[in-house]
Amino acid sequence: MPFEDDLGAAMRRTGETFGPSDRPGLVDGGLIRGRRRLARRRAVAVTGSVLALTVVGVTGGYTTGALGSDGGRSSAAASAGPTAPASDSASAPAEAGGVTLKEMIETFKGLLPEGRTIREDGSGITKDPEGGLHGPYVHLVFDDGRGAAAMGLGVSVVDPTGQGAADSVTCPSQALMPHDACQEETLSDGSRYMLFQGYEYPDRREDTKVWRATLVTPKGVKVDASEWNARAEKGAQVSRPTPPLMATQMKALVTNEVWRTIGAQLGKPREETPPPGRPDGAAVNKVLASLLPGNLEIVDQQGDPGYGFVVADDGRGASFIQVNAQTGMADLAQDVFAGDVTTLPDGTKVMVKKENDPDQKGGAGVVGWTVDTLRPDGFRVVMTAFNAPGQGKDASRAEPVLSIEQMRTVVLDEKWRTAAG
Amino acid sequence: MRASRTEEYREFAANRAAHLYRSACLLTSGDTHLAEDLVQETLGRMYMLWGRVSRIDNPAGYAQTVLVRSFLTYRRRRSASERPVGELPDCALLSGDDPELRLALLGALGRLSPKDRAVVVLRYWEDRSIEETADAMNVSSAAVRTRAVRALAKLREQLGGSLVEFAAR
Repeated sequence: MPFEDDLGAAMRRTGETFGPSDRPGLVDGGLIRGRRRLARRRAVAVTGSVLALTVVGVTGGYTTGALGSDGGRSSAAASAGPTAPASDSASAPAEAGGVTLKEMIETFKGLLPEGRTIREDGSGITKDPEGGLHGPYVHLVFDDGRGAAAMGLGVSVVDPTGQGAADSVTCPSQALMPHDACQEETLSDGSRYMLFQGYEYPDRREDTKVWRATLVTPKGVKVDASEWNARAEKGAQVSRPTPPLMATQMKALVTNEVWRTIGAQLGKPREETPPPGRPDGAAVNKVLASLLPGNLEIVDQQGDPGYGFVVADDGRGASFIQVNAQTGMADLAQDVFAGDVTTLPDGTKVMVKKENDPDQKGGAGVVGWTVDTLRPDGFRVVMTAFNAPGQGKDASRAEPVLSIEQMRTVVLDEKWRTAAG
Repeated sequence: MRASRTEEYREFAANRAAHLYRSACLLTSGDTHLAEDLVQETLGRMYMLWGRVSRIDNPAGYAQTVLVRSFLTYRRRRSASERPVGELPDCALLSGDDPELRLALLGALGRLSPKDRAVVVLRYWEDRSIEETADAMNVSSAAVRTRAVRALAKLREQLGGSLVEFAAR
């Protein structure tokens, strides 16, 4: 038999010995990455987990919201908890044993002050066809007599040492998401806790407030409660000045032992393995900070893999600057790099734009300058600098702190190769 | 993406994940962690294309191509920290296979350059023609031929008779 045939047979025999230990994990992981990619591509610069707070809602279920985690899904094949009688109010598919929707609703209501509930829904623990468990959540419209308010709580498991867990209990930067208050603390049992008090729309196009309490225990049980001062998260009139529960009540709610018991039914969280070769969240803003002119003071910064921002001040006002560094963007050559594009001798395309409020966040008098670059191999670095100190904030100076020429120098630096997300 | 499209995508991903993973394990010469990462990356990229997938004749085949490209991109980025030659990463052994064959083959693949390995995987695991391999790797057919000849010579040198022996089992 020719050597090629032997080789083919040997490769098949060897290849067949590999089986993914966690096929649903691969599928989920692919879906999460795909969604992030899609979101990144649509905008010039968007953020992932540094903006995680905005994407977690109640109506879609807590299980799908949290970026950076594995979507709240547990890898355990079966729940370890006691099997409760089937809930008669449950419309959820494939109840998986453990806590039911009915029990979730009763437990949640039992921890609220006196009042009446107008609407209740959610889900018990459910199992998908691949055997993954989805954490339970409950959503109520609750009225304590001072106005109906949407409230929700979900329980999931996350790798307590992972980035997803850290992101969910880290206050967002004021530059990205203006808010009234936010506190992080580590509790005596090692749990991390965050209370965020801000707005459903950080740009305040609606005045709905959202207060959110998130707890991540050392074992990886994540309890996430939110409340609004309106009947719905979005699109409903404000019904009261603030949401029903005060800060101390929110803390008591999420730290109640009962949620940990329910979380234990989800089994162990799937370990979050940082993809090899992928830079951490701080990579982009580190590179960014290192390339900026020395006369700038950096007053704030934060980052995700492939995304970062700094707020820089030259003494004449703060300027918000954000950057994406992305691989595999070659197909943007046609869609995005059109119009005022120059091509450098090495084939890199450079596009410059000066726009009013390019992110459409509504700050008064805001201009944003963008330098977008695409290398022939599909590596893209795009930077936008604003004359305002943060997204959605009013202009603080006439022009961004960097000139177009300075921006070009920064984005064309080869250092970005180390920071691509 | 519409819910039904997402469901379609999930089904596609669930069906292809195992095969992609096996290909990835060969490409990475047995680095199962990197293989998992590459499969997720590949499925993520396929998700982005899913809206246009009706225009792709063979999504399963295209996913394999995306996998190889992701692997080569990754290698380019990580070339400075290439694994020392001969050091085999951990790989969980399934029962019933040929541990010696597996070790010998993965070891020999690991000593090829990433591009040569990609050629070998596409040609002899995926059964692709020279032209298809060239297409998948964005290189000329001549370059694939050169790489294939070189890679085969190296593999023959290292594995030579042992493959015949294994094939006879």
